[in-house]
Amino acid sequence: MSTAHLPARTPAPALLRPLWRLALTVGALAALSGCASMQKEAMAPSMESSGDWEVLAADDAGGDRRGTVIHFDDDAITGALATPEGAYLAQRKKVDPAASPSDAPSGGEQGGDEKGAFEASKRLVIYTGSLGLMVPSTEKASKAFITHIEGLGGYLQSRNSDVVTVRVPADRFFAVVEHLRTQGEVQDENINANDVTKKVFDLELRLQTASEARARLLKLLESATVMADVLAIEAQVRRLTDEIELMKGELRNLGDQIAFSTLTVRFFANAPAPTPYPRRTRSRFPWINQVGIERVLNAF
Amino acid sequence: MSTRHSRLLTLVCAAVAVAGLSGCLTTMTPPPRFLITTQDVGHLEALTPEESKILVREFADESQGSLTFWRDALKADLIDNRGYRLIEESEVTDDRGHPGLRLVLETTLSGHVVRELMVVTVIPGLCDNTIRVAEFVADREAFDTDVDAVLASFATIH
Repeated sequence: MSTAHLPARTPAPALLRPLWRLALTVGALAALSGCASMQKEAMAPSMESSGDWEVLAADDAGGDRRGTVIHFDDDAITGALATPEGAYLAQRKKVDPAASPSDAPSGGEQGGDEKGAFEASKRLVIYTGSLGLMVPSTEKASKAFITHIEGLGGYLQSRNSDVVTVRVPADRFFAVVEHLRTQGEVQDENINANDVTKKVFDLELRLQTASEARARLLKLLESATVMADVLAIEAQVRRLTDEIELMKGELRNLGDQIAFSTLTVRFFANAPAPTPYPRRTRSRFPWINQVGIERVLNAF
Repeated sequence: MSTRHSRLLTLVCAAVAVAGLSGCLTTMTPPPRFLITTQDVGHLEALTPEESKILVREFADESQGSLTFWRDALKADLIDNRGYRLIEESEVTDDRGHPGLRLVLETTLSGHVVRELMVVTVIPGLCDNTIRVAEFVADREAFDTDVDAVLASFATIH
């Protein structure tokens, strides 16, 4: 059969080839950066930039504002650069927004390797408390309390007159509260427990995803040859780096608050205020009561 | 009784009375600038124009406590109860050999530092002892000026 009758393929216009390549690159960048933003409400700047990438991709594709290369499915990416973690995340959020890693499907679709310190079975709680304590001497009681805390591995955070704030190892927090009850009369007590398990898990997951996204961008950067691509990838890398550092800082802060509970104690004294001179009681010997400086000055 | 005998009797009684009275009156050679304003049995008052004061009194001690006992009782009241500051403490003996205690004490009254020299002497008696207390009280500056002279005068108390 002769091929002469077959219609000839129309070659793509030469002008469009580099544009298609740019669109592909830009779309890939948008997809990768979108992976790092699991919760739209928490990462508003990244959501905005994701929107920009989508517009860019659409414009580069000839004005069609429906991106044709990368598709976003909630926070996941489907298409050429989809990752197993992203796909899992989309699936997880569709089924149970509050699902924990232990609910993730087994096998390859597991949501990444949760290598953080988080253990799904352990709750992470931040304890804070305040206590008002009536004691015979505020000075003695506060000093003894600080010494006791330091002996347990805690430390003084601040002291303002008779108000003492300490950081106590979390596993000793309630023991310290019980100890205080034996040192005086509790006037008021307030204990707060803030469960940050989900928050820590989410942070660690986002951190891991962002780190992986940055790693992929850095690989992409190695093969980029067009200056515009290089600049675009570097900007995304910088943005991801900033987000990663922020998340690390937040995790460190949470870790510190989990490891050391905060306790504020206000000491009140129930002893009478000391007088400038000792209170005089009369001697049982009458003649002694008649001598002394005031007696002489008043005698005549 | 004749007039002559009654006069003689009156004179004798007067002499006896004077002798008795003068024997019980507390006497002291006053230090310079001090004027004795009151002199009685077991009681003497003297002061300067600036009203630095000397007060000498005698108290009967039926329990016949020792000097050591009275020293501790005095310090317990003056220092522990009234808050005086003890500046000096020493033992003294009067010119008749009676043991005594010398205390220099200080306190603050109305913002002024006031000091006191107190000499306590225990005079043993047949049935009860006599506790003689001689006190000199003055502002700190006047006290430092006159204390040596006053101490010497306390030694002449009879």
